[in-house]
Amino acid sequence: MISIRKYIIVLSVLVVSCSQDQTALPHFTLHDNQEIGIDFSNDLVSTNEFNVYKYRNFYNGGGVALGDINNDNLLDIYFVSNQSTNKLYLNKGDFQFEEITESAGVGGQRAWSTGVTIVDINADGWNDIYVCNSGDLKGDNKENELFINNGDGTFTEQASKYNLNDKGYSTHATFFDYDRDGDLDVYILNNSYTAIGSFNLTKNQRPIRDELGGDKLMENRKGKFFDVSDRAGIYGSEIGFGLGVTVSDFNNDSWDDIFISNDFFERDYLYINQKDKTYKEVLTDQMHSISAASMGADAADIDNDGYTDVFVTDMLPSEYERLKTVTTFDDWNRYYKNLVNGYHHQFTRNMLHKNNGNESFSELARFAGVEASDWSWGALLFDMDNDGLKDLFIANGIYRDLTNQDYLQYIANESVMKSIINDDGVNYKELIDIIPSNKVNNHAYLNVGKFQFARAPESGLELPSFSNGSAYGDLDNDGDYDLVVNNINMPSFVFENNQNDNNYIKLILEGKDANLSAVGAKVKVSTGEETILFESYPAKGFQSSIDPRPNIGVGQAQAVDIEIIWPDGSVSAMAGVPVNQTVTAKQSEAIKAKNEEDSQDFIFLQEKGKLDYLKSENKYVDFNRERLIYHMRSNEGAGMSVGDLNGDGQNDIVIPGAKGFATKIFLQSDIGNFLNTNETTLEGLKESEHVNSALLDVDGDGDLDLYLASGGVEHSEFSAHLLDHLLINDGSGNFSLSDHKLPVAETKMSTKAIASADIDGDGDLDMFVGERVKIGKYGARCSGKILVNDGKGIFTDMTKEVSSELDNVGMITDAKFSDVDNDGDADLVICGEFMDVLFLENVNGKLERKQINTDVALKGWWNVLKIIDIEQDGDMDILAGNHGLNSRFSASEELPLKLYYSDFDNNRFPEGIVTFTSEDGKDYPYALRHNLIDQIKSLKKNYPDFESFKEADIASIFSKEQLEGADVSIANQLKSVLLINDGNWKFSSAELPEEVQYSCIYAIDAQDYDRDGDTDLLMGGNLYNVVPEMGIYDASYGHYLTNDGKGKFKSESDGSGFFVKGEIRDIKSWDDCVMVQVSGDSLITYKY
Amino acid sequence: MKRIASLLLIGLITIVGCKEESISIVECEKITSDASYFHNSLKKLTDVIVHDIFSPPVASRVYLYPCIAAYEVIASKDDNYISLAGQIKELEKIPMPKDTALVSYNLASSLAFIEVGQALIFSEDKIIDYKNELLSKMDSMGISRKVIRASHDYAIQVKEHILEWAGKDNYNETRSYPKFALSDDPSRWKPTPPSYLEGIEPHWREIRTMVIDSAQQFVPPPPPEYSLKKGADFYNLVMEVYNVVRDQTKEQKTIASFWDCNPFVMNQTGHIMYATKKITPGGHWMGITSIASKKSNADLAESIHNATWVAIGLFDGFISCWDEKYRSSLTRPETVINEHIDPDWIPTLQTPPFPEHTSGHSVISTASAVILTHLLGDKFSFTDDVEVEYGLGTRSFSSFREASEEAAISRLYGGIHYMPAIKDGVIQGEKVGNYIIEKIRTKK
Repeated sequence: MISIRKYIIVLSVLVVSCSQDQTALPHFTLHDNQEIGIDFSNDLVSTNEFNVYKYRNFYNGGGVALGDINNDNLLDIYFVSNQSTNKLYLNKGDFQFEEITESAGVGGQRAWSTGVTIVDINADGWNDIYVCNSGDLKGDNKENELFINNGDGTFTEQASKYNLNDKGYSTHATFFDYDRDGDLDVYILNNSYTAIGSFNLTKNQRPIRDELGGDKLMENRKGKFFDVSDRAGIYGSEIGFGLGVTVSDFNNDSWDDIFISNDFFERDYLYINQKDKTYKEVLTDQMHSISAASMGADAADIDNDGYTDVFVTDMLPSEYERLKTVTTFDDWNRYYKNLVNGYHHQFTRNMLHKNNGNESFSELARFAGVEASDWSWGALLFDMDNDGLKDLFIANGIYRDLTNQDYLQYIANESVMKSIINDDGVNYKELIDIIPSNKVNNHAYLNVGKFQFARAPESGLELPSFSNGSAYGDLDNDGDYDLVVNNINMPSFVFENNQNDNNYIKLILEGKDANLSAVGAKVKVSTGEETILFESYPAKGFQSSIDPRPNIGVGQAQAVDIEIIWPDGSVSAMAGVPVNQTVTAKQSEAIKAKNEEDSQDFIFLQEKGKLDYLKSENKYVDFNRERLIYHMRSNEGAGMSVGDLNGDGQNDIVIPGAKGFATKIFLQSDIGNFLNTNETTLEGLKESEHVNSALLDVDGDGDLDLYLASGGVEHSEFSAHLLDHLLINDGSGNFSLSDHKLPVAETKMSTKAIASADIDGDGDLDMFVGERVKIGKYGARCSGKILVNDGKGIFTDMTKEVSSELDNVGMITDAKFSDVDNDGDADLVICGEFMDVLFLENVNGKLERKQINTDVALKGWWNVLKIIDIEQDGDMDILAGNHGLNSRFSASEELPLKLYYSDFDNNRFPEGIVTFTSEDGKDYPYALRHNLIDQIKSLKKNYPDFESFKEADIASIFSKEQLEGADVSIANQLKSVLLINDGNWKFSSAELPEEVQYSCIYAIDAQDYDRDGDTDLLMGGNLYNVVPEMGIYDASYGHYLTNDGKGKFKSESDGSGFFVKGEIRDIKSWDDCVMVQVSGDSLITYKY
Repeated sequence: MKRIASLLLIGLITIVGCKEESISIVECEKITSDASYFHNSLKKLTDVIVHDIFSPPVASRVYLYPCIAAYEVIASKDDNYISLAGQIKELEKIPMPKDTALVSYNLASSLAFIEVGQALIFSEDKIIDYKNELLSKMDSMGISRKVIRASHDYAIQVKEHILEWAGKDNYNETRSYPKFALSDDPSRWKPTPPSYLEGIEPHWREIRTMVIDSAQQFVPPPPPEYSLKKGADFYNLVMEVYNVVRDQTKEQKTIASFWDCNPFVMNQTGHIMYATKKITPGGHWMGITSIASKKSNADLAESIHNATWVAIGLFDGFISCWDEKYRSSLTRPETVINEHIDPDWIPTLQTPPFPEHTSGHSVISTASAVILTHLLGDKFSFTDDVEVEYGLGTRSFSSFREASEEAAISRLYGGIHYMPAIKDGVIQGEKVGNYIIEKIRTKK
């Protein structure tokens, strides 16, 4: 097996988070069903008349519900069977169960059952069972069923009496008090049955209600339910392919919000309760990346910050071989088309939406290591080991590998197909029988803190299966959660939790009015170190229903404080409650909540209208030109410059423009407004993509001249628009173009990095200019140029004379001159993509490579450098912005990323192939078979099908000679780093807050923003122009890091007002002002 | 797998080759002049093209070079035929065999076809199995092992010659040229449902032509200007497609399906998908050519001759057509109708993944029909059963042109082309076909 995961990160986090008790790994035992009296298996019969082709949710499976139906304080189990009778098992204690389906009368009568919820709907003190039904395509045998508990071990089906006999293709239903009137309302999640291929995605069908189906919010009015969806603002259209409904109070206002996960092309919905019986759907405002084929989801507070996060399942395989045989991804064009048509940023992977607590979410599944768990149905976030952190269980598996690429492209055709499709129509049974069937291990992950999860096969939960619904509950009342899983065509799983290392507190919540089980209550348990939040909603995960009694792991704490916020907002509080016991809390004894107004003093206040500038980007798709690249490099343009251009004592600003959009020079007037100047000159240069600027006095006349780097990849490699521009200042801010051909006249370069210093100590400013990328040849090595000034602003390329290190050094992104070794001259630091952070020491005007002594790997995908004295100890420290850790790419010294660059197919168009090193020591390509063949046609001969490619590593794809002829670059560090200068070219790495690693960093600014006498940081980034296969990098809203005075940084929540959506490309501050440049957006200005 | 098969074969030949008596070279030529050897090989090549999912223009290239290899072997021996060397771009005479006396040219031509075909397709195993069967069959019929080996050696010699020439047609280079870039221009082609595949072969015009001067020799008139104003030409043409599909007769639907020739149709319901694959338009006409050769009792040499003519017409036809497709880059009816007229409209045929103007089927069907008429006459009736194995019926035609006219209009019935693409495509195909007829001589 080839592993793609991020073990290194996990290990380092384990070390860091040792304050949590990590000695107790959870361990679950699978009970022998026969011994415990359970004989349930969700058996499917696929026929020519009814099968996955006729009913696309054929393999979605059934749910499982845990609830006490006879008030003996033991959880009973209700399993849903799709096609045959559902089953109810009475818990007799000590893991002994007795099937009582028939006597209880809860088997169900409908054609196809899906989800189940156990809750006391009629508030008579006895739990009822609500079963969702679907599947019956032609008939109407799919009304939902409500089994009302008669209190004597029998039930009576009364759905129509309650008006809950919904006729849609229901998946699940969740009961909660949306209007806080004291009774339980319901959200019924309905799938749609219109054929996927028949939808026109340009037509917005979202607001059009489906007459029969469609999601419904139904209000309980004295025991009868009424559809209030329209008035409440709930979508219920034919494109709502709902597979998960998750209720949670996302904004902590004690009103229930709703997250809906939708399958297929429709995006998910996030509804925020407006407290007036209506909802506002805000997903596109608050979330960026979302799952494409969203299935079950769960919401819980993962990091104990008091806000519930959301985890959503999708279909991305975690095993390399399956990734290479069952997976395809949308291409850029299709993604972009869907984006434009309102389907938002959808990607094939699980999503972990971290709730930032300020009406925004950051998607961290890749960072957390939980993005891939194959065809997943349900997720449950619950504390497996009672350490106070909620862990993650994912039930997965699809009985037929419907997306097996060989099946789609090769097997389902030819002779087989001919026998299957003939004059009599399609023989579906045969068509389905030839689809491969492979069990997949369920996935269990241990939460190790700070949004890091570790796969936990030792948990005993990772069994190969076709699993769908699952539910957790304390079946034996021993203070931990056991787990029940419903499987297709195989016996269900009942797992007993054996943990006993950690303490717990269990609560029984006694509600009031018509919500006796206090659905929607929130429990906060404080251990002194952590406050653990638990929300009580029985419907959870996929089509399932959990133990309603909060069982909260508290680690080694001996006593805890408990606060309960009841559904009506009233509060109960208990202090110093001893652990390992069950506490009953009554809503009737609660007190009214105090109104606490949070008042926060933000450091950063946004100033509107200070400078009106929109950073426009030309539309250019790099992926059209190069088939094997994952990121575009055509919107990296940034590089604002600030300085007094006209000698009036006011700072002026230069903003480089993308191709087709002129660079701007804004002169600040003495009343603080900005005037757009030099328009004619700059308009003449607008065909160049200016990606960076520098202000420097090149001709020694005392004013600032302007150097503009022309880069990007939008031009031909021979285009004159790639020449950089030098603009000479007349002293009053009027610029004229020098006829200098820069950086070198003969060869055209796409440049980006610019730095200036007096390299040779002759009193004038010399320059370094770095080449970013060879156009159309990603991976080819680029060069840096040293331009020596004659004092009059005439530059000569003296690279050869000054340094032997700059030719073919790599894809340079940034460079800075700084006296790193404190010897009075300017040394050079450069960085780049697939490059080291390189140090060149100035030795008498020559730049010599200096191997620094450091404790951290430094070959990265660097975007930006900032050199500054962080500790104020008199030497310069280095901050380097990298790709970050929230990525499907991962790299370490042991398991690096490599870029093999060569013209492998000898067609004069070289290709760069990115690989990862697996633990077996081999390098595997990220490219899927068809993507690699798209670039190198001849490989199709060697790999005629997907199966043949699934284990191919680079050494088997190419010959020894081919690989020897390839240029190999390495990346072994994707974290942004802070290198503290210890003197003598020795640097030690200092940990940055983990939030910085949530995304790519493109901009760093440093000032004493909070005016406490030390240097603080502003950082920002994100990258949206990424192939859908890898997914965009969007989890950052900018970072405000405060310095504790010793160089240790803390990420301020809410950024203390610094909160920027989008791709930050530059941050510049002066006086009391911060300007932030966001790609494709207006310039944002803050005062501090 | 491959290795085992060839080892077996060597073993087989060695054993059988020990036989005392073997058939003379003259006998061998006679046996292998049976045209079925070629038709079967062509059919096998078509099957693999279908399996490997080649797009229509690329498929025309896979047909071309094997045909030329086979034909050049025939023409090098048979005085009735004139070599194409010097007549088509940059082709030089094939080398002579090392041992002339032992080579069966008929067998060598079949093997040259197979060898070149094997080099151009991806699923080699299928072709290798076929080749080994053929060799064993020759052997089992008593043909001398030396003759088989010499003929096969010669076929490989010819293959190398042909592939070296083929390697200079810019095919490899164009694999890495930029993809078709989309824009907001409403007239510009966009990917279409359900698979939204990228535009295929945007640089096919840069492939070396065989006979026509360049891709731009027969530039058709541009399509009418994009306008959705009521009464505008373009609007009327869009509505014509819309109305034809709406009011479709059963016969029109049958015709559309019969000439669909889409190598990859994705059927999609939910997460479930399966592809149905068919021959390309070029494959259909190669099939018709075999039908016609059989009907006219053509021997192996004449069958290869006929197929080679048509393959050249297809090849140049596609280059000419693709040149215009990516010049005008016109949007498909499905896109326009969905966006502006009826969001739920679905054409009868799945829209293929490339721009609209001109219709490839119209161009290449007409070019093929012009060539076949030139070879076999204008009153040549035949029953086209090429599509039977793809679940479609047979259709009878009284002439090649009747068939090509039907293929052309089928694109309107299918809802995938406006009328000018068909009319102008037919004219473009005529020009390509007639020019080839004018330029090439194969008989003395």
